[in-house]
Amino acid sequence: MNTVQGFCDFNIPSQCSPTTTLKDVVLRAVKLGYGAIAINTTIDEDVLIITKKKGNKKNEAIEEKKDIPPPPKLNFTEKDLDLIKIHGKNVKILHRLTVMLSDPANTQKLIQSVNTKSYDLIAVCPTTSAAFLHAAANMDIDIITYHPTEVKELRFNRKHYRQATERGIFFEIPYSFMLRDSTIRKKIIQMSHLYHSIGKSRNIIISSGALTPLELRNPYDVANLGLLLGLTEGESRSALNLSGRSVALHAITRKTGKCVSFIVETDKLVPEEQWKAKEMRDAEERLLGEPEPKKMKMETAKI
Amino acid sequence: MISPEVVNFSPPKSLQQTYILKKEQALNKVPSQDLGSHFHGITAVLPGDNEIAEVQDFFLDTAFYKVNQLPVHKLLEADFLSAFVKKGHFDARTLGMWGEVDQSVIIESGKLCLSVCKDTYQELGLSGQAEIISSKQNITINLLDEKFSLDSNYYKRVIWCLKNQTSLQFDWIVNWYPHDPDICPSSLAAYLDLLGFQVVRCQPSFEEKIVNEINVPLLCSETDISDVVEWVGATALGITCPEQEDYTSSMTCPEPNYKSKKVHILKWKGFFSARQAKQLLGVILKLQPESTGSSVSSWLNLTFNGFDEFQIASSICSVFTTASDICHVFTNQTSRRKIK
Repeated sequence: MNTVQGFCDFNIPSQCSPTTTLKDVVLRAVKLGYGAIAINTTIDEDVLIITKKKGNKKNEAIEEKKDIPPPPKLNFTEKDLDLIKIHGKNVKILHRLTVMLSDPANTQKLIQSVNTKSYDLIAVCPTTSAAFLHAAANMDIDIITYHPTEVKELRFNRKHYRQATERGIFFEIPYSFMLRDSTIRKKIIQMSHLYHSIGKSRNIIISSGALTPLELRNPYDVANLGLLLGLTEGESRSALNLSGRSVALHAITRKTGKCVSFIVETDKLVPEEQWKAKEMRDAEERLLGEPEPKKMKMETAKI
Repeated sequence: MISPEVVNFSPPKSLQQTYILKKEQALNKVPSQDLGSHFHGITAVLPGDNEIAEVQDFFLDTAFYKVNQLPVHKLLEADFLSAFVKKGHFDARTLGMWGEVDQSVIIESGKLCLSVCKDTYQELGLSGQAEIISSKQNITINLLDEKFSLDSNYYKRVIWCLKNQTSLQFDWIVNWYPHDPDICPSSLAAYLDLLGFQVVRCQPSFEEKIVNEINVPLLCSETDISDVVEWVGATALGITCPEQEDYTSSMTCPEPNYKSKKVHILKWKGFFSARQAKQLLGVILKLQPESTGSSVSSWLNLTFNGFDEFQIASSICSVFTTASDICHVFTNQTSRRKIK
């Protein structure tokens, strides 16, 4: 199983600033030392609202158009990025879907859509308190994020925060907003202090949300910024490192269910794990005396 | 607890210690377990008119080797162990690592220290301990131990475990000094080259500078050693410290101080083992500091910089030798306590 390693930045918007390209942003993130990057696709809530008017073909046409988009196709691969990585094993690229949510009733389409399943991470940005509580208590997601201009006011208490953390949901603080505007900066700091006072800053990840390469910062700089956001030294470093790993693992368990082992065909093993198949065959030979082809093998999960 | 501290941040946690030792003790203390036995940079700041030819030429003939894409288990093969590890001082470490997130391997004084991430640890099947500072696991194997003899089950198990891990393949810097003086240290490079790995010979870089007419701080009982270490670092980098606080910089030369005619600054960068560091320190300890005429003691300084794997605190060991039998030692390293 290939999990993420190193520092994580789980919020690189796929729609970046018109003066630059997504590739430039990702390349800079890799050069700065990030080991896992998530390309974020944000959708508005009206994509999820199902409006049905009988007999009106126009509306149906619009409805079909407004499906959840599939993950964007990238003009670079993980192998390209491995060439310029400065440390670590390899660079991992994930796809993330962020939904702006104001009404808890609109989540049905999100669950049903086929395209949702092709994303690795699913995040929700609740714009109202009701949506926040629903996301924390019931929705099967990985990240609850915060958007300073879309969200007016959020009210939640310790119980709701704990419900979310117990279900393995992480709260995201995007830092690139703080570079753009002082009022937004205040809002982000206020929100992160709210996480601190209500939830003791448990399950926090810090990510960029950078639209241009210049909005990205070195992981250690971001960890220092964490001090301003109410995290301690160790917490802010694990907000970039360990928590990212937990988010990625939580996303895998959303697809597979909670498991201790899973089965892979020996032909489909990644090159690093081919030796396991060989060892299995050797062990069988020793036990049975004669070789016998076997297709499946067990592999312990590393959760 | 209600609102977090956002004004008075505490600095990153590091452990600073100062000792006063006798000269022979200092010689044994410097390459200690806490500081690690490998150094990346050595700086000597020598005020006065000493005979320093021996110091200048100290690393003239030394070399170390960079090996690309070498898997760990190649260093544990029977041939290698019997030819190099058991017949000399073998030092090796992986290059370009961030201690917090990257896997790394260090071989020092006959011990193999693997620092691996959780996923690899669970696959490896070798027992180890959780690292305090980061989330990784530490596995230590004593290569010179009797238990690790070539026909033991333990050895076979370790080799089998490491052989299959393709993630444990790194770029290395290696250094070898044979016990037998007739053998050339470069035979290590020849051996690795024969195995088909790319080996590059590297030499430590050396830089020398003389600063004239400069105020040099003295060591008295009230002096804070860390201020003097700061002054030494600034001088080595070519920063002049004004006598009075300036608008742009509040850095001054610590009191009491005296005017020295000549200060030699020698800087080496490369891969130095503790054995070499100890030899150089032995040379410096034999030199006499310049006499100032006052009762307060002048000094000679040698500073060792460790490899900065943890970017929060650099590991430094700075030794001040005085005219008497006493050395002042200042060390700074990553805190060994758990960071909350």
